[in-house]
Amino acid sequence: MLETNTPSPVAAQSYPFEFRGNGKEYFKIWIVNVGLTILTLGIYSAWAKVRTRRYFYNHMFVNGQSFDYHADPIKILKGRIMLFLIGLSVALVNLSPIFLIIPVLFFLAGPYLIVRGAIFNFTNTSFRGVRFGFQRAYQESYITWLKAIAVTIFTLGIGALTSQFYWRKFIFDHMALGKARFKLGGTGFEFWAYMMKVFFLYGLGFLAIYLGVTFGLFFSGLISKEDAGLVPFLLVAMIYVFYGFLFVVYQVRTAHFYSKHTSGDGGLGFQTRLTLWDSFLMYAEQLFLLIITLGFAWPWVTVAIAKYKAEHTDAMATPEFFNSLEQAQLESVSAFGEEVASFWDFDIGF
Amino acid sequence: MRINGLLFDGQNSRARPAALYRLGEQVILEYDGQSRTFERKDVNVLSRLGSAPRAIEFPGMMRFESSSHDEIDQVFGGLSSFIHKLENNTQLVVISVVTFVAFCVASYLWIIPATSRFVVHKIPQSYIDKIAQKMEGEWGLGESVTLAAENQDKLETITSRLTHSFPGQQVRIRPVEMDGMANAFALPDGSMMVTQPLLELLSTDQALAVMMHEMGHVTYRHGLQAMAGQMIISVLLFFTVGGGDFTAIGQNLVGLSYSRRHEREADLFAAKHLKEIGLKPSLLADGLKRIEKSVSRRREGAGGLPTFMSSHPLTEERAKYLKELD
Ligand SMILES: [Zn+2]
Repeated sequence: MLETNTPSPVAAQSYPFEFRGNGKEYFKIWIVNVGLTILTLGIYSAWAKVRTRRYFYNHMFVNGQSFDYHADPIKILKGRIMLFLIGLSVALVNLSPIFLIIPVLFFLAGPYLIVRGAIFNFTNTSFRGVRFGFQRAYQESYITWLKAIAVTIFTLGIGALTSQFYWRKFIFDHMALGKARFKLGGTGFEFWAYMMKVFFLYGLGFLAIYLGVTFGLFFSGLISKEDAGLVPFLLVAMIYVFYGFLFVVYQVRTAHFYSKHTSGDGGLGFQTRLTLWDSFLMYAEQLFLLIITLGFAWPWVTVAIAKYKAEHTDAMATPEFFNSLEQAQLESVSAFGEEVASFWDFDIGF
Repeated sequence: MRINGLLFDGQNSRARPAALYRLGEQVILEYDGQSRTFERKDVNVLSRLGSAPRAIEFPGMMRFESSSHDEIDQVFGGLSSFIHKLENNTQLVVISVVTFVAFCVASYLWIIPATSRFVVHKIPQSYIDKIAQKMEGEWGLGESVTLAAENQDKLETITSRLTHSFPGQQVRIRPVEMDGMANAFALPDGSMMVTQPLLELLSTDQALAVMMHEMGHVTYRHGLQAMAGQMIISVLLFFTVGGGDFTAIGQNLVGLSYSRRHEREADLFAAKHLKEIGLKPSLLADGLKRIEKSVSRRREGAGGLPTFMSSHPLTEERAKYLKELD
């Protein structure tokens, strides 16, 4: 463990993240991945996954050095096959109710699998030759799981957002870079209030605009006309744009909250310069690109978003932080947990 | 040839200037004024990836990093960068693009529809019943409603005529309440729902035509096909793009397009069976138009959505092809 108690003589400086990949390069990697995956009936997808991650980690720089990803594709393939077999076994439920135990076991194993997935992911990620790590915090994982369920049920769903914070806190508090530990401060309620405040305000604002437009159209007589076919389209489009807006609000606000409350050994911290309006324009632009290219701009869009997020994030650390990380004991686990988590869209990582 | 780079010794994160060269089956690494010798087979040269610095891994988690890509290829041979060569071979990239486009088109036109058609006929009835029960609960369909006498008569006539048209099949129609709207639909288990306003609004023949359309959904198991299709799409997306913020949009658009295709199939099914009992297919068009009118009068309905965002083809379009079948 690094010395956290003695104040460092040199103040923390900000080191911007920088993504040096580009769309054309990633396009070639992606298309070869996809081509080989199709030709090998999905088997290559494990290698493709590793290569894609490596591309993004290798090109993500902070203070002159980039990250790396070391997962063994064979392990990922085994994880995928197992997940596939379990998926098939769900069909057995119809043969006899005894097989109902499979989905039930799977559900109960959720928190265990999340820990396994986190260990797999973090121990296979490195920075400056030092591996990240994750503790075998099975008990805390189940506690987090119960808290997340309880906060959703007892608030009748209103507090569901808080569970997102609990999981993020669980991940941050149990991960490490070498021997350096991280910590996510703040409370679930703070997070909830921070998010709900803007959701509520923007929700009210949107409602006012929506009602204004509807009544405006109504009084101008447009809505009752038979030929006003575009009016319902306009109203539905407004709702879609608002959903998109809330998505961006969510991204930006969580980035601000988490970076403000994340700290680590050696004076580590994070800073985000994401702003709402600018981010909204960026996402709108990328979505537009995807639509007019029927989705084929995918690699360019993915790179542009990674670049944008990196450019607006700084790591705060003392200069010696980068040279003083120490390697910790490595653990080796199967990739099954990681595969389950990524199929559930559970985000283990930064 | 010497390759210059940085060494991380696997113990800590300090970057040390280092150099590396090869003597036959031995690799010599120089750093911190010392020189260490390794067997070539113990040294792992990672494949080239875009323009990122390349890592060469040594035992004990030692990591040598260098951007001298060409020198590394020369010293260690091209084998380690086979995939990188694929990625920079224009012909192969073009072939991959063509394969991918062909795969997308084939998935959309054949693989997804054929697989979902195949799958739905393998699903056991008990499982289908379970899904249908769940959907009824989610949509808040509740108990059957008591119909006014003349509507009850209409429903009985329709049921007996459908039973006559489809001898082997069990025709189950349940009257339900849905926000007072004229509506009819089919559940995956083959039961059909109809609301009182629909029976009131349409003539017996028109309502029969609408229920024939629903019989089409039942016969082709469209509801289950749609579910299976969504599952297949999400698995395909998982393997090709690995999920992400925008994939849900594409998935929805494809789902909507299949839904429009199913509606057309059910319309043609209804048209065929209406003709068999001496009725005109345009009866269905008349019924649909009336329903649409009553719904759009109650709220600014989905009538104005552009086709690609809508689950049904435009009613005018449906009326046109149904008229042609008269
Ligand atoms: Zn239909």
